[in-house]
Amino acid sequence: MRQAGRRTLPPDGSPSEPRRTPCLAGAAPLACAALLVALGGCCGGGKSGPPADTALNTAVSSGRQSLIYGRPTQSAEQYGRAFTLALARDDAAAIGDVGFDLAVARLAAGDPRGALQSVQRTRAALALRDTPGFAELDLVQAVALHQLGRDGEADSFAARAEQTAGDPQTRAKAATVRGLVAYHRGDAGAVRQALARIDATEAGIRPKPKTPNPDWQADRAELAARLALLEGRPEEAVELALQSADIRRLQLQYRGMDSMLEFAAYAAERAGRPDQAADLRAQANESLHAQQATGTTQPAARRHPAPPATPAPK
Amino acid sequence: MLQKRRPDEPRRLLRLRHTDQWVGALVILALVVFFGAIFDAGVIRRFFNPDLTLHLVLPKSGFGGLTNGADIDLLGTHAGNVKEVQLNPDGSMYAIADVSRQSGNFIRRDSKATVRRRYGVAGAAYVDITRGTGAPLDWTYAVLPVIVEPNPADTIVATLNKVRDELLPTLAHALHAMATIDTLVTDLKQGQGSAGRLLVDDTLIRKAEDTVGLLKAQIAKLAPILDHVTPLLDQSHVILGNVRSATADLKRATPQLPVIAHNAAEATANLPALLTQAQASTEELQKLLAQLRGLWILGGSGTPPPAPRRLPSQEVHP
Repeated sequence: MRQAGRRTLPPDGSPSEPRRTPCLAGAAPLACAALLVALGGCCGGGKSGPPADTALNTAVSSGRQSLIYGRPTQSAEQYGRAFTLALARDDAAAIGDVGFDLAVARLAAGDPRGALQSVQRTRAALALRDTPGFAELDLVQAVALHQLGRDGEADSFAARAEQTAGDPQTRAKAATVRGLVAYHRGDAGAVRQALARIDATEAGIRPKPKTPNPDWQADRAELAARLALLEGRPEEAVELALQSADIRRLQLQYRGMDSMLEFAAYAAERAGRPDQAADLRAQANESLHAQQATGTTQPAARRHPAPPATPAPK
Repeated sequence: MLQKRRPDEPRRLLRLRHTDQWVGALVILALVVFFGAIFDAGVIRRFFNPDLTLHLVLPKSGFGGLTNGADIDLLGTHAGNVKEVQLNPDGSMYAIADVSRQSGNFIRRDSKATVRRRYGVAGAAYVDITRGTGAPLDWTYAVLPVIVEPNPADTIVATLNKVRDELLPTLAHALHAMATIDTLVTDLKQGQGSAGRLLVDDTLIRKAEDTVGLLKAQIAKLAPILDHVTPLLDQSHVILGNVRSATADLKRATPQLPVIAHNAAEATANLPALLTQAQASTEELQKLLAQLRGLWILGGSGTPPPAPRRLPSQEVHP
């Protein structure tokens, strides 16, 4: 497979390709020649490194594209194939990266148990090659455990990811997971601390981004909505949940969007607005069914469980 | 007066002269009778050869009719008698029996003593002891347990009671079944129920007769239709002939099928290679497009770096 890829690969940015173009023997040879010289001068001189593993790169690229186009099941299949190719290559870095991608795709396909297995398989393969794990693996394992209802273990892995991650995005996502776990435990203080840590992480980014990260905004609004519900402010929880749903809609995160819609319906019930709750729940169900009908999502293992102890609305 | 008394003198003298002999004979006779009775009662025999004493422990169910003086039988012959039957205050019962000394050799620890009736269901009760072969008894205080043989009359009575208990419900069921059958027959005779109406009322029979008549009419109407069946059969023969012809054509074409299948296999065998080439071409096309986008003349700013293999963390959605 690798040999075939190597044979089909032309030299990167070869200047000879445009020069052999036969169409330039026509009317304006001088202009064409000048253009070719200009093009050749700009894109020529490609570096000749070691041959790339085309099969692995193609599988990874296909998995990524499938995930972007909302086909998580196909994405998981492609990443599964890529993981096998990475094992064949005996490349620890590729194994770690593709194992993480496979777990993310399985999570998106609504298979947290499969995601957990992918993480454990990746950890075993890395340990065999004396390569330590990384914070993103802890993060995806925490999310899988959270969706399986094993919140204690999820909190431990999320805490480790938050402490060891170099990427602020990973730290912020880990803080979000810890906030969700705290919500399901009914611990309003821990949810507030998670929100504070997300803010601190965002504030520590240098150089400061011109526009706030919409993903962070959506996570922050979700945690704030859950905190408001825990603290007995269901009306505010409804508003924040709808705000989070709007951001997720713009980010094409439809599964997270309908999750927030249903949470907003739950909060509206708490606020004593059954009509609004019924409408929101109907919206969420319609979206979910449409996603399942188009194959862009699978039923999630755990969507919107109510907190164990929610104070009555004031 | 003296003369008158003289004639009596010899008679008186004669009488006095034999008195002593008569008394002596009487005493001797009495002694003979006395000793004869003693010998006849076996007192002397028992005095010199006394009987053995056997204690028979009776079951709690009762004496079984055993009384003082009851016989003790061993090997079908008389071996002694029950001398005394005792009832203790604690409820236990036992009998003391005398058995002949000769019988002592046959009565051992494993002998079985059973209280039976002389004539099966009636007669005097006696103790039947079997011959033992085990260790001899300690005749200073010999004890044997006794069982009372169940009276066959009691067993027969119990069996009869059991038969009666089982027979009476069966008889009751039979009576009930007979009563039910009687009710059914009565209802049938009175024309109740579907079967009764069938027996009493002949309307249904008449309707059946009418139906048969209608069926005959329908069958008569079917006759013209059946006349068309023959042409249909002829047409089907023609169709079958055509099918036979088509099958023959197919048979002639069948030898070419392997060639066609072989060609199809060759064509499909090239598909994986074709797909690989298509994938490679797509990859190259993507690279070419990325390079073109980076051309300064098209507004780009150099070749963009390849996308990282690892997905960004924001793709992890809890």
